[in-house]
Amino acid sequence: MKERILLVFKRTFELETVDESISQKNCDKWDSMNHLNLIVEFETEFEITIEPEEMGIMKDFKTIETIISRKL
Amino acid sequence: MFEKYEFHHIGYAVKSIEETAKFFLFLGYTITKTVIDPIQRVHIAFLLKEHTPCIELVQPIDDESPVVSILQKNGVTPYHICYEVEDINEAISEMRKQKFIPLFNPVPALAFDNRLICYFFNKNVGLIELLNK
Repeated sequence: MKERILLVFKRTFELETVDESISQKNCDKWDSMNHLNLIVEFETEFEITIEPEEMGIMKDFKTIETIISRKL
Repeated sequence: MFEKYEFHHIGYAVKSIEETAKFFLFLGYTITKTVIDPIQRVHIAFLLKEHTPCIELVQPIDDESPVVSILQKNGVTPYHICYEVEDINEAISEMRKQKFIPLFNPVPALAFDNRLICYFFNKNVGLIELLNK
């Protein structure tokens, strides 16, 4: 699952490399509009529904992994 | 079901309501009193003109406002369309099926007499606001 999450990051933010340290604080491309694109891509990739409360805290890899894994 | 979504206004992200309104006042619009929405952290005023769509001017109060990033990325720009719906909770389910994600749970909006609003995003459409009747 980690690889799929990282691939979503690469695709959405058009990054050449990405690792599990990625967060909204250390990624310039992770602005509020791209955050929405990211959520859409996770919903599509994993066929899940992400709630607004969850969207607000999905600001780093670890949290995203935790939330997605709960839904699978 | 979607035929019951009635067009309400176009939302326009602006740096200054006063500066942007000048052009629309020149075109014959009238402007409402500016109100503050503390939840969205914005100043809001509406531009009205007979037989033309209503325009909502949205100016951020501070850097915490969600409108700031839109202005930084695109400058002054139209950025959402608002529709009125009979039942916003029912509409949320419908919008979900249309692949829109809600940005937050419905909140009261001071600019609309505390009627509930909710914003949605779809990567092929952008931002849509729903306003409960």
